[in-house]
Amino acid sequence: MIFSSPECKYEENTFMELKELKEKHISAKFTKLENIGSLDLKLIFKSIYEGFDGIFVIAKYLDADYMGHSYLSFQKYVDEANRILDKRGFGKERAFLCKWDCLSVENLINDFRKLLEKIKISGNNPIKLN
Amino acid sequence: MEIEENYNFEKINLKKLLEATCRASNNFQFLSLLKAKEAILKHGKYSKKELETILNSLIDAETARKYFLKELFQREPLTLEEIIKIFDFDENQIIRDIFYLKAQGYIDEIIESQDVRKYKVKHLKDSFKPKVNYFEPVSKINDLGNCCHCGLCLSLCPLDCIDLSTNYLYVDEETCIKCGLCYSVCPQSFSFDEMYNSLKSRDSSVKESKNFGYYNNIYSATTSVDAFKEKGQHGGVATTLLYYLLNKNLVDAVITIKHSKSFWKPKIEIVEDKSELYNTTGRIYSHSPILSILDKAKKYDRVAIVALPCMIRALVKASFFPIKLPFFNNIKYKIGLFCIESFSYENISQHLNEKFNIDIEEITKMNIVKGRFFVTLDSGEITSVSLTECDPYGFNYCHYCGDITSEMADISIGPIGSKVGWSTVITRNKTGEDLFKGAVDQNLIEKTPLIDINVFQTNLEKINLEKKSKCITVELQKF
Repeated sequence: MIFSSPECKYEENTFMELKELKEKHISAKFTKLENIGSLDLKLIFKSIYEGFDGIFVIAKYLDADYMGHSYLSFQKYVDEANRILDKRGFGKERAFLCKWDCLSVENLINDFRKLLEKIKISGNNPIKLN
Repeated sequence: MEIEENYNFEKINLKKLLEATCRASNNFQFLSLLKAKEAILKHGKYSKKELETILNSLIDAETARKYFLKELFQREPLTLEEIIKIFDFDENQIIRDIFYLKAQGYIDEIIESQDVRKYKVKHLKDSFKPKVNYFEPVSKINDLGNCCHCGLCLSLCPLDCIDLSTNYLYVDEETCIKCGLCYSVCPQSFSFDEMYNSLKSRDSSVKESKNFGYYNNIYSATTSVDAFKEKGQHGGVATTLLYYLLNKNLVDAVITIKHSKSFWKPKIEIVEDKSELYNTTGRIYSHSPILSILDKAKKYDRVAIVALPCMIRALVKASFFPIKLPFFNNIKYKIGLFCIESFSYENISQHLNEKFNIDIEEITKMNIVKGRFFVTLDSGEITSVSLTECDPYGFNYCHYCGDITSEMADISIGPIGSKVGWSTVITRNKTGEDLFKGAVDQNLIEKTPLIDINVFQTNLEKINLEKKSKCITVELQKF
């Protein structure tokens, strides 16, 4: 599941063309978030409930002093979701936050690969076995 | 009465657990604290670890409650015993959460007979949306005249936005993050008596009295320590117990009240050295929000506290809602005092001035005996006034508080039922009983059986009825 804040503009094909996804027949779903300044934890939990193995959240990084920007406010929600999921037996890092700087697609892809690695460590979503 | 701190989620189907977690993640208390995480940590009252413990505690408790609601939905009304059998959780956790859900309006209680009560999840319409922040800041409690000035909310507020003085409790609305922690621990917000009694009634080691609550044993006692005997108001038992705890290294510190420079103005004190206890002996009838100091005592692993019934109730409630809050796990001994009515320092000064035409600084001793308020002056002169005449000067809350004997303490101490110079001591659990026996075994306290338990009961009943007859109606629509 890939969530992105409204200001992040990217081509969905950027991900779909990745050989990691193609080779392993991994599917991805893209969802634009509403601009509400915080990430709803329910979205992450609901995605796991629906069987997604990992959640990739793309948020735009603005200015370190600008309190309301997506990246910083999203980080704590992603951390909290991971902490709760780990406690409930879903593995350590199913959610991953990517800092979108609007310039480097390569960074975006690298971060996405990191998520895939983390999922590999945590294993498939146990809810699918339940 | 211990409640397991951690929920056993391992045996729940993962899908059901995640569904409950998903619904729980909408909890307003959890979300307000998470949203304000940076501000709270910057303020410095809670460490990162403490805040995470609170967040964990809130989300886990709410997950369990959402799970209970889902599993009980559309079932026939069930007794607590039947509900307990359904879930693989600690039974005390189940009882606590069912009553919490009832207090929040999710569960109905059906009284089938005097002894049979059943519980059923309400069928809420699909369009029903709970109020986002259903706990008001505690200033509402004070506005209704219900605040007992225990000071617990001050200790707990993550951003210190509550200010309490004799006549007001103010919440800085601009700083307040609406987390509702103050409201959930407030002994005067939603009632937890029914839950407490349900938990206690399952404990076969205690007896129940309708006049003074659950108890193990009841004694009459006086101190054997000369220094406390001289100054002790009713036998110096409370101070002696504190002395015993510090002397035997059973606690690191005790929280109590002592005289300040203005002799009758109480000063809340954390005492580590037993030699300092001498200054805490003797009853001060002016009220002090002793629980406001709890956050300062968190550096100690084991603490004992001496407090009035309303304050002991606050501590017990805070240990239930939610759980694992910092500042409470280190309170190992709750020593409760008997209390009929409490006064602020300012009001007591005014009262003495108006009724006796004397300055409070001229007084060497205050005492309440058999419904009269006695004062002894520097000159040795003793004068008294009926307690009824003191009513306007007391806290409003005292006029309808039904807990005279600190029913939720580990051990309760007070003069009612014992001869002059002695106190009645009620041990209410193993902690209280062991504490009292320890001090007696060390020859620090002399004990006898209570002269006549029936007289004690009758006296309490009379005082209780008198207090209840003064109850005022609270207009709930003001909320």
